[in-house]
Amino acid sequence: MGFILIFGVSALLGITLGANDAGNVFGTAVATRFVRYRTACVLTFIFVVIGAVLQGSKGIETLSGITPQNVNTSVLVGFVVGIVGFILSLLGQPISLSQAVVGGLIGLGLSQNKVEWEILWKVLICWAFTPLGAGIIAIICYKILFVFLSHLRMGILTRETLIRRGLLLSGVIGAYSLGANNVANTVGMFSGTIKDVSNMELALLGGVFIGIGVLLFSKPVMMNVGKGIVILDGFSAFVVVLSSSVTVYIFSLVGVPVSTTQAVVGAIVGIGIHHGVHTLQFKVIKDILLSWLVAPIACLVFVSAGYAIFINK
Amino acid sequence: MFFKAQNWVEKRVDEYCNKSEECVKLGMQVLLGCIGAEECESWKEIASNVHRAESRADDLRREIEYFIFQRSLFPESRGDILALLEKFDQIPNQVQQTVKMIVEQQINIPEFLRSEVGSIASITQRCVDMTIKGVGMLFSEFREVLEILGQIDAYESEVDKIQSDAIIKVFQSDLEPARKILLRDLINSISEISNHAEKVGDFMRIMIVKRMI
Repeated sequence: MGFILIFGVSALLGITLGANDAGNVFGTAVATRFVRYRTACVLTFIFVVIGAVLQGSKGIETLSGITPQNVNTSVLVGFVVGIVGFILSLLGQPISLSQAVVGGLIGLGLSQNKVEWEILWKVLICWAFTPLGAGIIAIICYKILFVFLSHLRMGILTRETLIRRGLLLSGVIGAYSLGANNVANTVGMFSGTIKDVSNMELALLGGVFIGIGVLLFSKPVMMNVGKGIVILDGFSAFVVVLSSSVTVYIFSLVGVPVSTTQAVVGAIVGIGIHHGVHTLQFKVIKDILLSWLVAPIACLVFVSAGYAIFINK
Repeated sequence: MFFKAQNWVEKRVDEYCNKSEECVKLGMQVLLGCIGAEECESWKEIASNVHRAESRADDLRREIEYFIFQRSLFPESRGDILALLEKFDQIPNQVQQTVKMIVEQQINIPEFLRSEVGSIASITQRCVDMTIKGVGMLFSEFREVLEILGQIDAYESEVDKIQSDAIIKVFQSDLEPARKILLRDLINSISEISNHAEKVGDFMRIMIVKRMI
């Protein structure tokens, strides 16, 4: 019974994450029509699973360390996060599932009076640096790649072909990073709650569910992230995907699941700042920032309430 | 796959430019030939060749448009390429229109105007040649097109100046009013070719700058 519940909640979380975050990997490329939506989905599916299996375990260990969990509490957290995330995804809002999961785990930890603050601080610091780091990396990448491209003697179509290939490559790196970094959000809370199931097997399960989410529900968020904040040209889109992928990959090595959404938004804002602040659409940025706050707070509140009602009755 | 489609488009654009160039060359041949001739009847054959070259250029343009749209290629450049070809197409169209005007209306250019009309025609020819070179370079070394654009502008300004002088000369002459108007229209029509070339140049400038930011 416990395994079925975990399987169901993982599916909900994975599909929600796929719908939300995988759009970030190819969102700008698809929105600028450099890469077809179908191609983006298939590539993301494959590389998310590979990333999750090869490098997903570290993040799983971090999340499972925030507060002690058993099958009931982990299912509660997963269920609440999944429902909140799924509803916000349907509304086309790019939420951060990483923050929603941690919000839920904090709610659980506070209810149990057991929070590993050291791990939590490490996670929070990494979160703060995600959009900031992606923005800075985006500006640096833009300048370097721009100088490189400026020195190549080529026609407009060769330039476009190069950018398209760059977008495919950076999208693949992004999908790998997404799997490696974010699979913990879908299965991290279940680590150690089921006998004989290793973190790598959990990562495989989470990776497949993320991939299914990408295939089925990622289009609305993909178009919102790709076009909403600032209108990107192909080259800027390539820089956005590359810099956000690198940022997320760096945090995979640290072992902290971060928000790919925030990395992409940070990179897009970085490009916008580089082009001139007037190119940014502040209303869209404000809406996105608000939706980032809504998810973790809602999860914290609902998990605490759920714990009080169903587990600690 | 990407390079195959790219090569196809580049090859067709090149062919399109060649056909347009042929059309302009033949057109100028008719014009310069008519300057010294008493009547332009003998140029009818060349005028029909101008029409054929212009039609073939049109066919090539449609072929390129269809290929790019049908296969959803080059999302960033396709709008620019199609708009560029549409603007460029005005050049052979204008040449054809001018040739038609000369042949059908049997316009005879008076002695005192021959030097100006000859200058306009030869500078226009150079202006269009430069434009064609620029279009070709967009597909090989697009940043270097900027140097050519300055020359296109210079030729166009030169044509404008001669055009103005020529029209003043026409209206200061003792020709019949109807003939004056015919000659003015002809001079304007020839000069319009370089105006179209300048518009193509301006559009290429935007295309390049967009890719340099």
